[in-house]
Amino acid sequence: MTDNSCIEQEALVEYLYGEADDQTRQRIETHARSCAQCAEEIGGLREVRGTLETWSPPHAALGLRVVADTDDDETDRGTSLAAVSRWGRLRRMPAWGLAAVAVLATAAIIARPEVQIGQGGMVVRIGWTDAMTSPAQTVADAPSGQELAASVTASDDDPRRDPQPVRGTPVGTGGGSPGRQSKLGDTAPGATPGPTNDAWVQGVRQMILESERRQDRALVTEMEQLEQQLTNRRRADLAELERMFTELGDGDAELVRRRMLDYMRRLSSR
Amino acid sequence: MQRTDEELVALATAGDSESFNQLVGRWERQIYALAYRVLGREEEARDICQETLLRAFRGIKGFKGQAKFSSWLYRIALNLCRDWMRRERRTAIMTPLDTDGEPSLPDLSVDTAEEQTVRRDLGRLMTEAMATLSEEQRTTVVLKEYHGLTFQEIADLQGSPLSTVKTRLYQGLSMLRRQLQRKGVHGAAAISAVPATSLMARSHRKVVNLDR
Repeated sequence: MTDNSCIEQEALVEYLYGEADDQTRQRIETHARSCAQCAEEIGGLREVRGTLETWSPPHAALGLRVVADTDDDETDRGTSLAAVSRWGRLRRMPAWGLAAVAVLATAAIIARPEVQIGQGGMVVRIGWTDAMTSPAQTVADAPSGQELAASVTASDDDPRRDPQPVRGTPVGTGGGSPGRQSKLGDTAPGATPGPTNDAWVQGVRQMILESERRQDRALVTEMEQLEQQLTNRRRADLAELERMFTELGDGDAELVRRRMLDYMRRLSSR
Repeated sequence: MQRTDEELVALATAGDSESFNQLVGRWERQIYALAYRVLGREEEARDICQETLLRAFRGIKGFKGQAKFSSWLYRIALNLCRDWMRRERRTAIMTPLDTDGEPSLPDLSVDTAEEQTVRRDLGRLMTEAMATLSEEQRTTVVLKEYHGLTFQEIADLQGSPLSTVKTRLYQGLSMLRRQLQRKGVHGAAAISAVPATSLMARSHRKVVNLDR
């Protein structure tokens, strides 16, 4: 027996979730018609289930992906999941880290960096005029084309991002005073000039194109799912209204009318 | 044709990480939602989701298909949730409310913002109500209500008799009913039906009575 009714707890939850056998279901329904306390208990628990239905977790940018460490294929030690989201990382960042990010962002705005990818590799200009730039200064720790592509992909936290499992490698940044020019790709260890650079530029472009196509496909899938959900909801609403109309003849017209009004109000508020 | 979980697990076990990524895409939201509803904390739920999937990836070769893949993930996630709760020495954590304990209800005029406010407040009320349940009751309610597990699957996950699971579910629902009534949420199934302005006006009177 439950605290508030004559029905056993186990039978009641089976009935609530539509898993009671026919005999149990009929027994409960017959009893509830003659026992106001049990009918109230069943109605109350159904209301709780209705409330639970409306409770959704806050949206979270997940889009997790396995990032395998290719240097350590024989073990799982190098495996990790790509970060959840840039905002999640920011929230976990200590105050001094946030301050550092703010300073760097401000510096970037002031310095007005300009990035060009061309035959000679990737060129980063920092300054206000071209006349102030100097081609002589280079950065020695520039990444190879593959590494750059990897880092570009790894920094993309969009759930629909490039699904290639890649290894993130930090991109070398050309720091310096205003007017300073940093050239990536010319003196980098492992980087080869000329045709190879063309190849990796093409590679990067190809990856970006593929990524965009994948994002488009993901968007289409999401839209289809959303449309399906809306369709299902509309069907459920229609079925509910039809059921209410059929109840109109059962005698308690006023109660049904009020419930219908509530339901129509709910639909109109969506 | 879309592959089943079992097919993807077989491929992932053979070393195909892209197949595992498909499983991740299929289940990460469910795992996050499970952890969020059990813990009531967004950030921790996300961490547990990530850790669950990472552990699953590392242990995929040991998964012999003795249970559904989703049940296996749920088990890992629930163990992590339990570890977290024990570590924090509390059964449920909630976002602190305003000083008077009532959800903050700013006077917004834009419908969508109002709806968001109503939903956020409902979320807070639900999180508070869920926090009054025992860990087992809360987990049972969440697995049954939101993940559609059978009573037997829940019993297997919790290592409990079937009758215990049903009793926990009944007790959990009854406790939630009392808590929601105490907070003035009656007929809450219709909470989404009530125009936000109406709900807000009632809430400002510290009563959210949704029964006509």
